[in-house]
Amino acid sequence: MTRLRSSLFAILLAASALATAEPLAVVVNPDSGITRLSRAEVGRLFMGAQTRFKSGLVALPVEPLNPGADRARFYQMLVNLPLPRVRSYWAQMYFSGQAQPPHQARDYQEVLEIVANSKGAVGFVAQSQVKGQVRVVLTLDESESR
Amino acid sequence: MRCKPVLFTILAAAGAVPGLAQDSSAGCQLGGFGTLGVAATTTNKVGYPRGTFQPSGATHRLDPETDSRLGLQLRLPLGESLFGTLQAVSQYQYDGTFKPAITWATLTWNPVSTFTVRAGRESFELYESGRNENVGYSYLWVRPPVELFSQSILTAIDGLDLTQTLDLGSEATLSFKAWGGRSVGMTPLRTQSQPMDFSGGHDIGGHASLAIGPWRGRVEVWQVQIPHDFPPPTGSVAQVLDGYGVALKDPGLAPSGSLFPLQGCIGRGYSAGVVYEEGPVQAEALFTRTYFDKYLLTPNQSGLLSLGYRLGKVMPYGMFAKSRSAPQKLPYLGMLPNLSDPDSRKVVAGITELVNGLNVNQYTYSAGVRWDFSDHADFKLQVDRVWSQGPPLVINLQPGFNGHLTVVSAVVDFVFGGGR
Repeated sequence: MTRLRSSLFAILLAASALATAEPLAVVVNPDSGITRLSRAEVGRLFMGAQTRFKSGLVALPVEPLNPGADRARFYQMLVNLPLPRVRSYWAQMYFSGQAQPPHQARDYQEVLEIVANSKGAVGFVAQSQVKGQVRVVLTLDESESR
Repeated sequence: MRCKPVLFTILAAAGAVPGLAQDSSAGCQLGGFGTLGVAATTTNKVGYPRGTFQPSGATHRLDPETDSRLGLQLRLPLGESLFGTLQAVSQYQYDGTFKPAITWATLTWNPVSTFTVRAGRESFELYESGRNENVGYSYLWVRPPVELFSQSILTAIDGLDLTQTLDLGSEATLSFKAWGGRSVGMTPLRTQSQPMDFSGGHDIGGHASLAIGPWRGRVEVWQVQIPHDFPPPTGSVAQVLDGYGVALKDPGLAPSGSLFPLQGCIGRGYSAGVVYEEGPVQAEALFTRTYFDKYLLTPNQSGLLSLGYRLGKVMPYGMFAKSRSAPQKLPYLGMLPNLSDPDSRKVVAGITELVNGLNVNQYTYSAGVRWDFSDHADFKLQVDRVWSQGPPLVINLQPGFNGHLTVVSAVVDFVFGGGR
């Protein structure tokens, strides 16, 4: 009975954390001329199905290695796939000469630096971390994704 | 990973050089993939190969050759819209060696977001999930089901492909691909010293695929050409066979009264498949049919159903695959073993094996589990319950084989460099 209570508590705690998880902001360089991206287009850019923006500008998707939990949340909200499947998908894409995976930055700070300095870069950061010369073009929120 | 010595690459894959494998910045990149595995079956009356390109297969002893392989890939950006890919794979192949072979050597041009041109050598790709069957880490199973993928006699084509993608809105994408080129492939023939060379045939094909949210559907058509006849001495017995056919007024003979040579024989096929991937679910259904313009080669149809469900890092799965050819209609083949000359008998044995080997009748129930124990590696354990009529999907048939075998396989797949 004690074990059951502990399990229920853990589940409630996890559900609570999920419900309060911070939204993720998809950011681009202001000079790109892009003011809004759809979730589908961001999905295609980060999954290698689209290598340029509609304007013709070559896209450079950037993802932060840390925190890893947000990377998993990003792909869950974007394409509803778990991170291990995203990795195996990229092995398939890369080793069949089709596309290469997003550039991996160390953390949010490096994502913001790359996006601010590269016209075609598109990345994501926690909403509260948005700062500097970047433009938010899409916000991903668990409550909207479910 | 930038171009660095191979040893450094392997160290990175092993985690000895943290961070190296994550470097995907622009520039020359070296990456790789591999599988270390063992397989064993419940019988020594037959061998269970990964594909028809292997000269022997797993038996009741632990066999590391069937599934183990190593690949290296170099990616070279040549401008904003152009890049080159070079890939070599070492695996157990037709000549019984692990001699590396070039599986990719392409230039890819991507002038606009929706259009891609690729030229050079690329692995033969017939089905969605077989896009690169050498990369075990990229798919759910230990190996793509042999009932569909093992039958491909071609390993690559030297040619050109064009892909056009259309954004239909509402998360829907439609794409078309057309390809053409010359085939590359060798298959061992167990009764002869020389392998059958399928290289040089003219092949064309294409597919349309539609992706809507978690659904992907694909319809594909293709035509391949068998470029050479059977190697001697089997090829030289063609006239004998044709003579039997003419004497018996076989209605299936071509107007020329010839079953052979196979040189120039055209094979055509189509496939239809659907994949559903959402959250923890990964499901796939595929049907394919092939037929040939030579009476000797009978039509074949194959299919698979696969379902996996992810529980964190672990993903149990099940699969059913079946392949069946139409019955062979050469009644006079049974008369051939009556030939008394030893050389003729050897040739007839070869012909009989070839003809019987073209008739596939096999199905497999599989259950397994994939464990993603690291960001760049997985462990898979799979049990296959197989029923087989005999070659070509199982080989080295011995008297006493009752058609049933169980295959147990355990593999570790890994990627390094560009594969994240």
